[in-house]
Amino acid sequence: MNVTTFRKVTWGAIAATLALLVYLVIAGTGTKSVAPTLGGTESVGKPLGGPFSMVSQTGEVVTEKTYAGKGWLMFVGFTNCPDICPTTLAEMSSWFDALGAEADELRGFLISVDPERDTVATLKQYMSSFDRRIVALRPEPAELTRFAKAYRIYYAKVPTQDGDYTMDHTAGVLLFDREGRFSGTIDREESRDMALQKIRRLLPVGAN
Amino acid sequence: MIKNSFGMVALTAGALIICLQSASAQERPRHADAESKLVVEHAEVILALSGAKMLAGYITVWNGSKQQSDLVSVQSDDFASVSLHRTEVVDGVAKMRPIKEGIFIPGHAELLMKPGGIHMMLMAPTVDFKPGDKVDLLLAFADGASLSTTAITRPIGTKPIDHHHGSVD
Ligand SMILES: [Cu+2]
Repeated sequence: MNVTTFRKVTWGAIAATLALLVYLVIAGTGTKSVAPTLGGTESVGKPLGGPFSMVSQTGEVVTEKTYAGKGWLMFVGFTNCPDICPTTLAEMSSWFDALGAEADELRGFLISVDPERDTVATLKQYMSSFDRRIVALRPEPAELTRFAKAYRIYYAKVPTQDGDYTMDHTAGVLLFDREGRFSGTIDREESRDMALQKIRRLLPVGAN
Repeated sequence: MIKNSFGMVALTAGALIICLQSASAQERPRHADAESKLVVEHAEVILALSGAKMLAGYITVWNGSKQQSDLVSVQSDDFASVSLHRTEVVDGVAKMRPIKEGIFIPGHAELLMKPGGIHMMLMAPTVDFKPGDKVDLLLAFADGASLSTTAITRPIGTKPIDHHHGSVD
């Protein structure tokens, strides 16, 4: 192998490596622009969170200021979701239950990604099955779009065979500390102990 | 894309929780009749708001035979239709989709349905169920075999019991 060939091979290898890297980066992030890479790996742009204005299951307007000073456990879903939404809310209720009165320093949220079907009355009926410290919120469609962007949550309508529809949506629970800073997520596969550990970090020091 | 399709495969495999040869020696007597056939060991239907068009149901099917079984459909007179579904979490997003290809249950293995995995989607109930009511189900397998069972309805927000083959609940 002479020098020229060697150079060609070297540059070829470098080019191939770069191409592969670029491909991996695109493949890893490009498929879902709205879907979050949660857990603090997002370093570009504004921090996750911000103002919102929605209506609760009791008909009150709730903004980011309503429960300022409390830790937040935020889940997006919809009441027609038969499989993971009620299970996640049941789990969240069990976390509040386990923490007892300490959990008064926390609020859970179910934010409906299906405001079309989830009326305030529907949400009220639905929430009676879960812990009273979990608040259901109904955003107007335009507010939902804005909220999803600011909180980096994903949702999409998916038609079903019978002409109805279901929703794809972010599955994890987003945690915010008492200063309103995003502090991580609880994923579906995480153990109860791990979840409680993460939630305790949102409580005032000395409370546990 | 590589990451996504790998995730799908992993989740698909993970959804079918298989405990090959899991029936230990001391469990055998209790399931003596279950050693050579298909048995539904556990069946629950979780209620939703009244008027809801979709209910989720969860069953555990133990295949005590040596042969693989292929669950192709479930029927119930109390619903307009029942389909088999799978919820997958892909890149943090939950997606629920019908299973069209049937569900393979290897010999001496169980199919464990659970939230965030395989479940039955029971559409348009014809009965206004109360917790504790019974739902008759008929399971059909690819070889023509069928199996009837009765599920119990549970209130909204109940976490279905993680019933593995051999557990008592
Ligand atoms: Cu389903």
